[in-house]
Amino acid sequence: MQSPMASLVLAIFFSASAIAGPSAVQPDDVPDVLIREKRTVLPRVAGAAEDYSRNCQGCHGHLGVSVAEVPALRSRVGYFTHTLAGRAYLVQVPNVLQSPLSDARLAGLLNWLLDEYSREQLPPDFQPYTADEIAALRSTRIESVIERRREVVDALVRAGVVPDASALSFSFAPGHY
Amino acid sequence: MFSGLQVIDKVFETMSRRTAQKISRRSFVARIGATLAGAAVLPVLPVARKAQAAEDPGVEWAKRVEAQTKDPRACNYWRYCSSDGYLCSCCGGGPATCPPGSTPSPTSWVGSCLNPDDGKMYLIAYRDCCGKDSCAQCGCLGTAGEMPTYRPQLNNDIIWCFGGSSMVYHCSSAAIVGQI
Repeated sequence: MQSPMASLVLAIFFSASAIAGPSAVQPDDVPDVLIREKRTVLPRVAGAAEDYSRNCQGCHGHLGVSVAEVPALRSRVGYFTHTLAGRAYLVQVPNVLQSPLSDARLAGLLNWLLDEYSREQLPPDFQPYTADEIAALRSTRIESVIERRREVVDALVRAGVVPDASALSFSFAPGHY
Repeated sequence: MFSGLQVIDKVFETMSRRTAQKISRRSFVARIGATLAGAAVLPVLPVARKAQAAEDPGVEWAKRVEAQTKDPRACNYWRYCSSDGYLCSCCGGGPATCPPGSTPSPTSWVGSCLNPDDGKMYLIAYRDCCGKDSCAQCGCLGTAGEMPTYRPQLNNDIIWCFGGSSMVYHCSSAAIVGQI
């Protein structure tokens, strides 16, 4: 049995150390008795990490990787910021463009996920998104997202950012279900 | 004869004089000080924090159904505030585990519910178990924070089996993702 003081110290330690975002330990099926009686404190999710959890994680996964049908973010998404068109694409892809989040929170969310999942792929002179940039980009709608993605990826290949298109491909299979 | 205004003036003068005689200035300052300090401390108390969060649909649900943390086979189990479907706990699984023969969907939607034990909000992933016929036990309908179907990411009327090997819905699970 832990003393109440020891539990409190542990709780403070864990809550202070866990604000960063998705952690390696997945709380998943934490027995309620741990929260009730042992006062177990789970990783806190706040700010842009919470916006990611609520709006993106369900499909993109808490580690930024999911099934083949959902484009992976991890070790990939940063490549798009090497060109203006790619930078715009990340904002204009329909679920970002139509998100209920404000321009400022979207800017924070995109900057957070680029840093969290794809820091290594960012250009050395990467400039974070601002709310104004998001607002400007959001005023333009992409007609065909698949076609635009292809154009953007082809340009990234030509610019030598990625060796070939397969580096950024995902399985888009209409009628699969 | 006094005029009306003079009467009021007189009454207040008498009241203020009496008050001034009874209490010291120091006690007045002390009371003001205590009130201000109290006002600053109050919002930190758990009760006040809960009251501030009262707008949250997850909190509203927890109060309305008297959410509990001990029976995951009941609709008012705390994690089910946004769960729409058959409880995996009633189908041979647990609140966050799929019954044998079904597999967890790789995709889910994430909502938030209030844990009545510690008064904190937790992010919950609503992950359907798929690949087996509908379980049809313990149908529950929680709608906290749900959006209409034209916001499919936050809708629970649709079947969340995307990306898995089968789109056949069996039951609904509710896994804790983190504390907010």
